[in-house]
Amino acid sequence: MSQSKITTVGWQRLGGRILQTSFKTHMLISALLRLALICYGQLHDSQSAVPYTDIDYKVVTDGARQVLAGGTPFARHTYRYSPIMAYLQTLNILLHPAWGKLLYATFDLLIATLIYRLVHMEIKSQYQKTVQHLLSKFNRPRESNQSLDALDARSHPENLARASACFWLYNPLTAVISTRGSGDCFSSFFVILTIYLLLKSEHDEVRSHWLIFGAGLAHGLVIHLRLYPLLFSLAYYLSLSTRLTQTPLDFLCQILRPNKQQWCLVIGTLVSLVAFTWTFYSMYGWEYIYEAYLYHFVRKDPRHNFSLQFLLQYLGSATSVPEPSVMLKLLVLAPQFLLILYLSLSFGQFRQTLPFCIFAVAFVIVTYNSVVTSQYFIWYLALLPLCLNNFKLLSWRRCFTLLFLWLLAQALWLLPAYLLEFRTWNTFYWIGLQGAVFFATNGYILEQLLSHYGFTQFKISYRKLL
Amino acid sequence: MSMKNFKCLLFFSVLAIMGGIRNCYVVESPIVQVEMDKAGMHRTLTYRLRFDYPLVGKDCEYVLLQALPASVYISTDELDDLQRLKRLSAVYPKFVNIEVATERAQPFSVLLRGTPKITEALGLPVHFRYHAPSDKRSAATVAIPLPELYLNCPTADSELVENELVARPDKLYCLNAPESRFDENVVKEGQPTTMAHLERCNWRRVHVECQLKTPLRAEIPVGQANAYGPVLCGTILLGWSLALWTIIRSMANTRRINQRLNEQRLLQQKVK
Repeated sequence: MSQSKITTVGWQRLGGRILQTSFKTHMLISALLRLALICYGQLHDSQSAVPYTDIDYKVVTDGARQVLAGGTPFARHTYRYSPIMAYLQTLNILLHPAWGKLLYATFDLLIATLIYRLVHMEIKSQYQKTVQHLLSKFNRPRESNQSLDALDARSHPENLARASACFWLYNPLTAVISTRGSGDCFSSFFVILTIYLLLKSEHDEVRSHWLIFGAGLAHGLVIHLRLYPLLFSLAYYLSLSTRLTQTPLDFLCQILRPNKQQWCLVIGTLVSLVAFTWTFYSMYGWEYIYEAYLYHFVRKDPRHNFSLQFLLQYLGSATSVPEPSVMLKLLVLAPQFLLILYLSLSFGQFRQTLPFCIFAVAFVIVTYNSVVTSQYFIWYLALLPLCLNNFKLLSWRRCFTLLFLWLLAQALWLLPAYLLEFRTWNTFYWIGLQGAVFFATNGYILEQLLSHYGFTQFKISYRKLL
Repeated sequence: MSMKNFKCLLFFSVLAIMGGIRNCYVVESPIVQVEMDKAGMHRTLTYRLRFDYPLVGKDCEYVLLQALPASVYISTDELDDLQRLKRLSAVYPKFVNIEVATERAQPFSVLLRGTPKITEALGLPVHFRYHAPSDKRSAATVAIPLPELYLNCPTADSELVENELVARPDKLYCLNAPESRFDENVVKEGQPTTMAHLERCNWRRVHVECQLKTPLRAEIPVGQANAYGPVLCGTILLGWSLALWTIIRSMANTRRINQRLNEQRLLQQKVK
């Protein structure tokens, strides 16, 4: 037997075992794993000078301390988050310092629950649509609500949903990030909740508008928490359209003449975003607006990072280099916006493809961002499990090759970064070059995912079906 | 002279000589060996302090003032952690901007506190800032000044800090903790003197013998500013190429998917 066949069989066996274990058991194991990591973090921090706890966790805890003292969380230097984060962590001071980590780990598990439900719902719905489509070819289009008997075990919604949730639950990166006290899981939860509510609204016609309004509220909250989900708005909006946008005129009509569902989304988003922002503005004034929002636009951090723009930003910080014109800045930024527009129009027009669309947009936001650190990867890693079923056209081998390339590009970047940081070698160009390699690798991965995306990958038994 | 008188004389003579010895003992200047890691943007300044024994075991307190140039910063969170683990006792600014480059940063000082011991080692983690790119150099030399030592002894033990030991015998200094520095104590007439003021402003700068194994200098790499133009062109070109390539390569698949989904939608609308 060839080596690749043995590997495939091995993976299939592992997959089989995972499928046999119930989702509740996986949740329990993951909860215990996260509890163990939190306990380890507490022990580690009491002994080591290099802390396990995320630095932002300490900043937010200090912000919470200021809130409890009747002050503003922005009195803590470098506090640049929504005050909600400080409120959430007030129990760090009142109850136990690890409270916030417990809370974020809980949201980590809630994300898994949402992934499970969303994938289950999505596959079941897609299956029924596919069956309906097939039956229509046999002139039997009215037989809706098909049972799932015609599906093979591997394509069964229960199994795929469980596998997708496990992909999140057992991802070491996400488990470590949440138990270190990073609040990224909290915002990722609301991004997935928005997608879940939008998809659910398609199947629940009675509560459809309320669900979309709820999705708007979640979307407004997550924009308030982190600015980047604002760029998902066009895809959300287009997914609620009732006809395909094919020309620029169609697109303009879509934007200028929203339907009822689109109105619900827009109103929900505005209500939530304005309510939260106005409340905190009235409490903390201009300082809140500047620190939580504006600072991220004016911030200039030329220190090395994964971004393609690192070298440009660093060299641009020279006193002899004049400030680039608006045109040049646009030329640098435009590809990102072009891709977001393209992805929103290509994958955002149907709710079936919406999870993948949001994943791809998040991937583009991170890849083209002016500053990229490992923590940003969670923005799209949280959305990846929602689309795993859509990558069945990619072989295991290709999947592992893409993963290997992604890790290799990071490792190659780490070498010159290490030499600069710990050996004081002049490796600015080398880091810039590796940043470009990482950027190109990400571009290749995105192209592969886009080209191999499939939404109806079912093995349906015609005999059982007909 | 009788034997009894001779013994008395001898006893008092010995006493007098011993008293003289005590008065003649000059307290030696403290010795500070300073060492810095050889490479990296993140290094530790290691201080090995040695005090002469009369200063040890008294209620005296010392502060080692380390001035840091603009190209060096400390992470206040890192030092907070070290203080929490009782590995360091220090006074430093509440906020140090760690993001700005050297050209836009300000120098400041860190005060390392302790009580005199025969020998003691302290470690201060410091970080070097990036320097703005330049057309003329590929590295910048950053020199870290030698530390200064200040002593504060209670009034009863103040005689231990002899004039020979003190750098400026005529001056006392006040510890300005919020600014992490020492200010000269200027006594204004009519100003009431409180106990707290006396304790805070009883610091004396003492001579210190600094021993260096290697000079406290670091070579920090600097990028070439004249490469900005080509890098700008490359960034724009790569960004656009990849975006357009992604669109062109995936367009056929996205069109096919949308067509099939549209068919499904139309079919559903028909079924309804």
